[in-house]
Amino acid sequence: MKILSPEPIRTKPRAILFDLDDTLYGYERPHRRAMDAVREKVRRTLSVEPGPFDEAFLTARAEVKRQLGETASSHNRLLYFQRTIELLGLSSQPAIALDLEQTYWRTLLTNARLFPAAEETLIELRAAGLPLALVTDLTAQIQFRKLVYFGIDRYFDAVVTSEEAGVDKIGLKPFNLALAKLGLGPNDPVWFIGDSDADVVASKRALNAATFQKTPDGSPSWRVHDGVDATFHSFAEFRDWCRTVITAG
Amino acid sequence: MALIPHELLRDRRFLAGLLLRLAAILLLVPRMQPDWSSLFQWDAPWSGDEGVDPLDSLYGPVMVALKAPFTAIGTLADSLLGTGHSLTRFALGLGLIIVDYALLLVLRGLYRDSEDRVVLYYWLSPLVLFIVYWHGQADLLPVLLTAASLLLLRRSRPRAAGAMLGLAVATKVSALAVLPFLLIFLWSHRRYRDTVPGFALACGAVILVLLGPWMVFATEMRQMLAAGGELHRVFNLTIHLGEGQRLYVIPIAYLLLLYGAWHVGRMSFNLLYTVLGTAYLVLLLLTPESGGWYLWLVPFLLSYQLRAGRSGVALTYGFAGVFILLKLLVAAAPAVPLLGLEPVPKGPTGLAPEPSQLATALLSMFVALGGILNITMLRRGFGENDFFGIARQPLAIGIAGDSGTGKDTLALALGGLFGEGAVTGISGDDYHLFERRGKLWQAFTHLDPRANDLEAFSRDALSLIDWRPIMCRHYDHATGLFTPPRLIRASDVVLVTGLHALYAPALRAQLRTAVFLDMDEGLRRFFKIRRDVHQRGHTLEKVVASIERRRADYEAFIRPQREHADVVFSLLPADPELIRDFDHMGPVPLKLRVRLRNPIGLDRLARLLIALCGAQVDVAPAMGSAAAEIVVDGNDVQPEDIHLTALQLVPELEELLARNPAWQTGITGIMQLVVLQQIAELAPKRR
Repeated sequence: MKILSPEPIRTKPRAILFDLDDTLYGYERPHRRAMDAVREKVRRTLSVEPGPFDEAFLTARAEVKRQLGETASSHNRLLYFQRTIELLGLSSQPAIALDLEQTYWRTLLTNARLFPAAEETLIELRAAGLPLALVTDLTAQIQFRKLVYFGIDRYFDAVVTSEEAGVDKIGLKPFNLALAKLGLGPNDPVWFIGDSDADVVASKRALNAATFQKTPDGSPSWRVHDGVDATFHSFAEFRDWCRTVITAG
Repeated sequence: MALIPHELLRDRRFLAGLLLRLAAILLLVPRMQPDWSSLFQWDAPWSGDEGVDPLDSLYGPVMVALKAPFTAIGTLADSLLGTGHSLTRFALGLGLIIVDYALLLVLRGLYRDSEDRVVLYYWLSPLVLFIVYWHGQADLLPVLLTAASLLLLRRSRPRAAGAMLGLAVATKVSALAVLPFLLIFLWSHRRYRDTVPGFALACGAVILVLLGPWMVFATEMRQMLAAGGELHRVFNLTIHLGEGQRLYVIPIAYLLLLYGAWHVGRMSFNLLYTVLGTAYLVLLLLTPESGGWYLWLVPFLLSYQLRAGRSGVALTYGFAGVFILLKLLVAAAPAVPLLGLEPVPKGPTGLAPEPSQLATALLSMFVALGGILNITMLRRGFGENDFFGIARQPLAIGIAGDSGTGKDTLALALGGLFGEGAVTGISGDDYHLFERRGKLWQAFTHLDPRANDLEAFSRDALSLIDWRPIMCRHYDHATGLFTPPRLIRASDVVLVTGLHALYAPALRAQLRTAVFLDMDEGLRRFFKIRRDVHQRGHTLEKVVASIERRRADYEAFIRPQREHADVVFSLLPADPELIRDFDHMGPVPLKLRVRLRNPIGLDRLARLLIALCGAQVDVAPAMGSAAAEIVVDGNDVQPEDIHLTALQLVPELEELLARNPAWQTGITGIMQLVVLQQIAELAPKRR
């Protein structure tokens, strides 16, 4: 736990907002395995080798993102796969696109693990009477499936996806929506815990939140985002630190 | 740095272990250390009079292949820089670290769910660090190859596994000790039985190709083979029976261990590790002066540490600690040339006033702790292994329900999970008392117990559950006649299906899982009327009368079995409006209601169905006398979804299933999952 600006995090917040991907669980490894499963399926069913598939997929993703901007749909794997298949010259093929999407998500989920002590931290914060909210980009369907899979849906008082808000977190609206769902006002102190630069900046701008950056590990090589008030890599460490503030508060 | 996984590079414990190893090969020159003068010898005594058997240090051609490049580079560097043998020694040390690291990777693969703790228990294991880097034992390579063989077996690559074990034997002949255990393991488990020839042939071929030529040309190899590596020690321990007669203790112990493994029969991999660990520990305790066996024990000790609680881990550390103290006391310490320290010779060290007594005390404690460790390993291995509980007797599954509810479909689906040859079945239809044209059918329906020989049905089912074959006639649905009796053999899974599968209390008591299949009454009427009126040309009135006649018997004799079922499946119409139209000939979307007597695990099942399969699930918890239930709309669920969900839901049962289970689509696949979950849930209770 590294405190960069002690003042904003000195007092107990009225609520804590969490990001999901790469904050409560590590995304990269399960993502790699999920893409491997998709490549294998594409090779087996469409006779397309991983090289051309990867090339088409990258192009498809860039196209979808360019077309949809900062919205939940711009992260939609179904659209990526649909466009990939089209780029491979196979027309739309909805059944195959759906199959690839399901292959991706079920493989990702079966390989995903919550970070150690992440669930215990949520339990303890709830037990301390703190309302918790999850604010996350992507479509509600898949983010809800993740919450249900991890069994952490029960800890959150509010969940906001960018699909619901109509725009990604960078557009600020999801944070405001979360605050409204929690019944809090703009001057209520809240904490935001996330991993990405854009989230930290946006939560500061939208809510003037105290911001905690979750880093993958304790290496000093991770870049600390501008405006971050504290960083941590282990939830056990974060939880122990929270005890001092929340008990004192 | 792709050779080292990202998470290891960022793991401080891994880096600490690596630094310790590098420091050790830089600073320490063990009494037994890499020798560059002989291709076949790795360990070389500091002096020839310390009682080390040179046969212990002889290795086969695979070790030559490992040594050659490191020796060549080291020797070249030494000759260019005039550094004696220092750089050769260091290069060989690096080779050893590479083998050590490879073993870490293999163990992470073997214990994939505990990768993190493998780093702690293996990479920072005081036993490994001491034996390899302080004591200078080089058996790591054959241990690596043996562990790799196990990993390949686990990944369903039997021929590669056999070849790998062949390599291990060609490195050190003592690896042969593992082979009979692996053959017993593969043969005893129907899932793997067909892999025995491939495994054995590959192993034999590699041994022949690698050891054959050396046998002709290399004297040291002949010595090693004649002595069997460390196996020559097996004849050292004898019991004198008087009149010049002696018993070899270790061969007897080894044969008893093999018999034990054979007697256990079908084993899971975890149980195999327990059995192998026990075997090595017994051999170790009977020949405590032998260095090699300790490293062979390490992969299996690790398996125990990962599953045992803190007390188990403490016991293994205590065992290792006593071993290290003992060796420090009786074996020579390494030299530290950089600090000008000479090797401390074997024998009294001046650490204790009467070192021989202390050594004896430590040896006794070592044997006692080893004995305790052995017992706890066995107790945990057998006692806490669900698979063993399940695998000791056939897995009996009862499936009861009215005609047309899908008993045969479910039985086929379950049979497909366990594989052909692993499943046997007994069907209530074969125990009807009368052939189709029998006049007594006018007095009874099939649902009436008096129309069935339920006594014979129960007796035969219980025989199969007791591994005994039966002779049974078969009711041919096409002709309505019985065939002559035929032999039905017992097998790993016994499926007891029929209208009355849960009727007899004695039979119910022997079923691992009891399933009752039900169907929404409206849906049942719809299907029967649609079939009998539209396909068979009966009048609606006649069909309805027939339904009513059976209904009374259903309520009296079939439905009460629901109360005895662990799981009740009910098929419901997804669209109740649709089945009011008896003329509707298209598909009828269905939903599945699952009622569980034991609701533990229901929430997890529902969550996995939602998250992994994308199914719609309604959960109703148990209320008063009502059982917990879920209703699943999962017609789109694919076999791959079911497969991955099963891996999450009941990973411990994977080894019970066929190597390529036939997972089903939609509702049938979900039924497969539920039954497996019930098998897993109910196993410990009934053991």
